[in-house]
Amino acid sequence: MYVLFSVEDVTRYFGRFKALDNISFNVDNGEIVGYVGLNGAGKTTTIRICVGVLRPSSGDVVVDGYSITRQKREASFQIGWVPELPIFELNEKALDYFVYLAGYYGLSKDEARRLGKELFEQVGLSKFMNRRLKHFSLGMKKRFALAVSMINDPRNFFFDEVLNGLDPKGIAFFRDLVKIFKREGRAVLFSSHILSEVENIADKVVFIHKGRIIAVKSIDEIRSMARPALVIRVSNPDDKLAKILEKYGDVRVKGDKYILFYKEQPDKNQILRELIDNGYEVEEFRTARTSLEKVFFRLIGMEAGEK
Amino acid sequence: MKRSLVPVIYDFKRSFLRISTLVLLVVFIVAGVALSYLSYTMISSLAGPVRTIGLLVIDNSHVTVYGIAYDFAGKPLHDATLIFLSSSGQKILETKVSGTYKLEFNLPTNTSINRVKIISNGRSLVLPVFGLQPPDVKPCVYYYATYDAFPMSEAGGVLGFSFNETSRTGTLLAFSLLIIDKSSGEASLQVVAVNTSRSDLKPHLTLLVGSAKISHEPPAPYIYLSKHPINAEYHALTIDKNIVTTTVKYNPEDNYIIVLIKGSDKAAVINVNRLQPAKSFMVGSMLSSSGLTLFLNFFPIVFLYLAYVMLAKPKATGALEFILARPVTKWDLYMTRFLSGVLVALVSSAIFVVALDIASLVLWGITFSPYVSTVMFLALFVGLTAWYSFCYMIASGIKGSSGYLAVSIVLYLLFAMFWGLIVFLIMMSTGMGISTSGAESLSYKINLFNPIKISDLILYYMRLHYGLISPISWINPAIVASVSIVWIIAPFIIGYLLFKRD
Repeated sequence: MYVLFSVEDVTRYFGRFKALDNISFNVDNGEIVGYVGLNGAGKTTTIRICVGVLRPSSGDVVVDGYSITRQKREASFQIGWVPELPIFELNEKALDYFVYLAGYYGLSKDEARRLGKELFEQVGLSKFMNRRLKHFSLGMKKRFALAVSMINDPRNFFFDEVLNGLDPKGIAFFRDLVKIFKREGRAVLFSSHILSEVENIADKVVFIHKGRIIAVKSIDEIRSMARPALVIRVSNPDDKLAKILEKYGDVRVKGDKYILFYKEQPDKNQILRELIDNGYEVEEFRTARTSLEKVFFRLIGMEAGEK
Repeated sequence: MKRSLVPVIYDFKRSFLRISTLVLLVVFIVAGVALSYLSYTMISSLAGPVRTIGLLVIDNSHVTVYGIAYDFAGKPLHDATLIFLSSSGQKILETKVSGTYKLEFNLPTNTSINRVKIISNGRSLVLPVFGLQPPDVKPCVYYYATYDAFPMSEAGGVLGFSFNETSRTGTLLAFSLLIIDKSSGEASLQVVAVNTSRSDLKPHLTLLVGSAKISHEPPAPYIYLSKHPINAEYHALTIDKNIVTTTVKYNPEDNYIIVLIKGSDKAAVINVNRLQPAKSFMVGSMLSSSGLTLFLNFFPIVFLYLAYVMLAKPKATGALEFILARPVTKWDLYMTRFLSGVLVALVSSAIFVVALDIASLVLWGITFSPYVSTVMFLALFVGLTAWYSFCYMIASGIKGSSGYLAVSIVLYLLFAMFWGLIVFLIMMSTGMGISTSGAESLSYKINLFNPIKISDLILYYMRLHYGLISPISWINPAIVASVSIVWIIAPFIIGYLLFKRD
């Protein structure tokens, strides 16, 4: 593994407002990094700086050894970006606009048209090449941005809330694509509000809150932070039930459910047998795990507590 | 790193081939030509392209007239009506003539011919009839000519030959030299001659026509009679008929054309620089005033809109950011979109000038000289580019696209629509009036502060070429070039400084 791009001590002000406060993290080759934070935390600002459309007030982003601030052209050659919003000139036809953008990579019209058809096929837009972008759905616009981001076959991808507004098919498409990118040794940074997807795809998660990186955790670390639990619901609960369960771990009662946070991996069959033997009619018995969302909020809470 | 011109070409195509650009270009070309044609017909009905020159020989009451009716390109007029009028306005004779004409009629008793009216295609000119001899001489010769009525394109005069001072008989020759094309040195010569020593009035002489470069500027504006021989390369023309029309070639480098009868000591010396080819003058000045003004005042709307679609709108929607994520710097992007607008200015200016040229060829049968075409093209190109640069700067500095539209439309109205009023008010406040040469100079100075009217400074050279304006001492090519460059470059640089801010 080696570092493909690194965000180095980046600070960004908008007027007097500090949107990013000295943030740093790396993304290695073949690594999928989730970028998680609340609205306004600084995710999009970070990505805009990474792709070179916004200059940092200080710090730098180095992409494949090229500084995005000092070697913009070279660095941009290594970058693919799918922005959160469809920010194109929407009156243009998809393939024409693709050819226009490909011109900035030095492709001739013929080369660009050939590549455009190929990439539109890959992203599922081959039937819509001559349609104006303003007639595209949100998902199609994101696929178009993806096709454009692949013009130069870059090794680094930045997906900003790419799953927002997509139907399940679109989400699955991007999820599968990211996995392919990983196999191909590319680096992917993607911000998302759909934390379950981040959890499913990412190797590492960077947590940002109020412009500061509050944690960078591998997915294994996050899993270890998550406390496994059993959710139990019986039709005839009584005072004795909590005492039985406390033998296996901490118990919390939430409505008609008993949640057992166990310390060690228990024999679930034994717990279930004991409940039945004690005359309880078990209606629900399932494993639950603390979500990334909860980890995130726990981290935010810690951050607030530390302060 | 490999760079490509594809984005510039593509942006140019998107800008130029958009319906709004093409429709407005066609509309202003058609409107420009139509307006010019209207102005042309109005002016030509006043000054008239109808030409004639003639000699009347009156022997007792018998009148013999030799003459030529021609248009302002020197070609014969086939549908002219000639009316001879007495001093009281009485119609003595009305007749149709075609090209060269010989008329014979008797004069009513106690009537003298005072004026000649020529009518063609609804245009008419009334010409005074001048006596060339004392009225008691018989036969007595009179002449009339249009070059006195409309002298900006032709010059002429009367030359005498083998004149018997006692009987006052001999050959009298009236000629008119019409400049057709200065660049190739082409003129049309109309000659009418009568030999009153002979009963058939037939002349027999050799006319010499030549040109020379004379450094000393003679006092007369168009033509003067020289009593001294002038060294020149002469072409001999035998005049053995009463009417001769011919085309004369002269050296375009020369500034004077000399016409003299071989054996005579008097030569008519014509200052070519004071003459303008009539047709191109009229058409050129019409096109250059009404047609160009219309285009220059209204076509900038296209560039206001282009700066909106190329910069203001994509900047506001974030579309420029998406492009900026490509291997380009902000400078590259700013430059690319600016260049595409400049290309639109270049191509539309060229198309407009070529269209006017074709229109003038079709409607009037003349083409502009390369000088006039170049000046027109430069004026349009510089004016449109300066205005685009100015709008581009506004688009760079203002965040919202609607804010851009509001500011640029207000400035357009100021620079294109209300500027004349501002100039007028400034002139009035200085107590200068509007028709003095100082006022003209001040008007050009005020226009220095207007990106649209900067083209006016370039058009000054065309107006000067057509003699529509007196020379203004402070205007010279260096100033015109500097001001044009500043109006293009300065907004471009300020715009970039605004654009590169995040």
